[in-house]
Amino acid sequence: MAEVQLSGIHKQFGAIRALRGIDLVIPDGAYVCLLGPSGSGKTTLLRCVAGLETVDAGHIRIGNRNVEALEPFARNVGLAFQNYALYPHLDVRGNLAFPLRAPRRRAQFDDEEIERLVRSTAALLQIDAMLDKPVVTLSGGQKQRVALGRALIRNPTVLLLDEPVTHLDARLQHEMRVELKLLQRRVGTTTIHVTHDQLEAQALGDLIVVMRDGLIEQVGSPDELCARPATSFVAGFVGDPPMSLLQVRLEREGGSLSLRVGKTRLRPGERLARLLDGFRDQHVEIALPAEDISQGHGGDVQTVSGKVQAHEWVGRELQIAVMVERTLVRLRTQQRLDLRIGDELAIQLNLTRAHVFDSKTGRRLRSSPN
Amino acid sequence: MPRIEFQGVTKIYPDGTRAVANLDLVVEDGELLCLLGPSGCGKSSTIRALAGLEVVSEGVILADNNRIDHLPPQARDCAMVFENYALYPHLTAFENIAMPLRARRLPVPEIKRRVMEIARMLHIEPLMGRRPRQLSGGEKQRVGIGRALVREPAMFLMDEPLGHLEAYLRIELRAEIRRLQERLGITTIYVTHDQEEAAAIADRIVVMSGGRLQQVGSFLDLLDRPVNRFVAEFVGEPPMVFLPVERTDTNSISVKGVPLQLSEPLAAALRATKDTNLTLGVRPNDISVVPPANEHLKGVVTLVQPQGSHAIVAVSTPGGPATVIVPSDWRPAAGANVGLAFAGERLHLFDSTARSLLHNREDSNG
Repeated sequence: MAEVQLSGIHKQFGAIRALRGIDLVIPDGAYVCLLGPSGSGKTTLLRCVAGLETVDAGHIRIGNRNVEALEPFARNVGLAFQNYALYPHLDVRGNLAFPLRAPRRRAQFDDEEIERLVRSTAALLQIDAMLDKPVVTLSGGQKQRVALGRALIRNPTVLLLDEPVTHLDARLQHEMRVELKLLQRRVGTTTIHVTHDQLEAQALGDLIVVMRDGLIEQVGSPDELCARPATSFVAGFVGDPPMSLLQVRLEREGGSLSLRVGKTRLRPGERLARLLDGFRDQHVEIALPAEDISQGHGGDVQTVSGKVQAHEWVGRELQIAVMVERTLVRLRTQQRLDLRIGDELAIQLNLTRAHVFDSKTGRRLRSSPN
Repeated sequence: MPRIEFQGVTKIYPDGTRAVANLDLVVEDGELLCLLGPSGCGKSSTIRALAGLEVVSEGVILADNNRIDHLPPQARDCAMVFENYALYPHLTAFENIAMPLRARRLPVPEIKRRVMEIARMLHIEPLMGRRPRQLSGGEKQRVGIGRALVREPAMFLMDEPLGHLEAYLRIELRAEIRRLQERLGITTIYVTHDQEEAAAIADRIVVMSGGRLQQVGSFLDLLDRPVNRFVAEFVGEPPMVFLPVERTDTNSISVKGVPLQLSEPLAAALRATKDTNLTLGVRPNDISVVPPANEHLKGVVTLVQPQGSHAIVAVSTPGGPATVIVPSDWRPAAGANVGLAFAGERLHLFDSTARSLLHNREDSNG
């Protein structure tokens, strides 16, 4: 168990700058999710912590040791990957024991000690009944448990997980999420989990690190990311469905401010009017959670319309994507609408909780510029 | 586009496996029907029998009231797309799509027009000169779909077409498939084991298990009116919560000593049976977390998973584990002692044969 400190991490592959200065402190015992689209640098960062990649610059501290110059085996981290990476010719016992039998550790563990560790780890993951089974006969969920057991058997100071559940089917994904979180609570090991799935990150992470183009966009609890996204990128990534981003033009006539989307002028409401006090005639980007977008015609200025691009049932709700002024707006409804792609749909926007971002930098607007 | 009818269709393989048992099913003209079930449930055998890739052992298959189950595959006018793309590796994307038209000896300008039209619909126009190995998985499957649809078949059959693809590509491509299907109005049967996918794109869903049709309906029908415990458990995420029930007398039941409030229809269904081995089924959305009190089932929160606007809460109760969906603004903490209140009008009861007391009499072909 240990705190992990990353400072000034840079990593380049040829012309590609995968990590461009990462500073991050992961508290002892925390479950941290690195969240981002592919190419954001999240896996590279994990591999740097593991020692599978060397950093070009910067420091990695695990507990009170600088580890960036150490070999992977000397860092005492446990690793589990998306594709399990199990040894197909070995049974479950052989796979679990493998890290303990590595040549460099021969002196450390005798057979009796290895068997004891295999059994306690297998019990922890509820795979003790299948120790003698070849791994090729296991289901996806069982294989993932073996991979986790192998990562945990040496009692690592940090557990590193690379998309550990993504390719399981939906039902199993949800089950494994619960198991992972309960397991981590039990063992208390500082855990870094890489995922591109924001709902997975929210379900598991004490902290979520949102990454983009080799940089950190925001670090926060799941609630913080939803309540105060630091950038429009984060806003467009979180929520179910993710928040909708709209380019609006601020227009001031007399004393009153309106937000123009295409031909529609939206009233800002009190909170936004205060936030935008002093801004005039410029573009900003606003993000709206799906809960604040509803289907139907309110007959007032808060109504816009667009063409239906997609409609899908998700659980009891219909999720609809509507193209409004060249932006995709995503909403949910419990109504049983008989929609066809291309239909014109009126939607109402409730701006009372809208997040506002500078349209050039994408940063959250905090106060007026003057 | 035809209306397809399966009448008493049974498929028994030479090794004796009864893959499909006495299937009665109507696929309406122009609809997108999903066959949903775990592996081995008979869903693939069903569409393979329709396509003519398998011979049916018993029963008949009709297209617009004409029998087709004895026709050779090419006479049935079905286009099929599989999980593995089955493209010709030495041909370009254009030539792969053009293949069915060349086989029909259509004039060259006509072939070009139709290939490019379908390529445009699938957003793969710029890729037409590439060979399969130069395409990503998602692009290959688009080419596969293009090849299936270019000859404007009467029926479109898809067997786990997105199984190999990354999660984000699956979501993108299933929307694309739905869009294309709506636009062409083609009768489509889509096989999947993934309920999320079925919910997203199907007009109606057929749930299969052990070669037998369990229930047909919209996704909401399956969620709200499951005919048996299999459908109740298989459909819905997180899964339905099942708790053992004590029958105190003809009219009332309780869970671990806590009496349940039943809706009038459910109370009537209860009176109509003498079965005492009953199981309560309740969806995580239909349970609320309340302060613990004697009129509620008590439990301890074991895990809270935020999901944006709501959270998934796991609760350990004397009757077994329960999952509850709660709004984000009212969320208990792990370790909290809580009560669980059930929405009386949305409860399900299953008898000792796993049939729903309330919904098993409904026409399952609804």
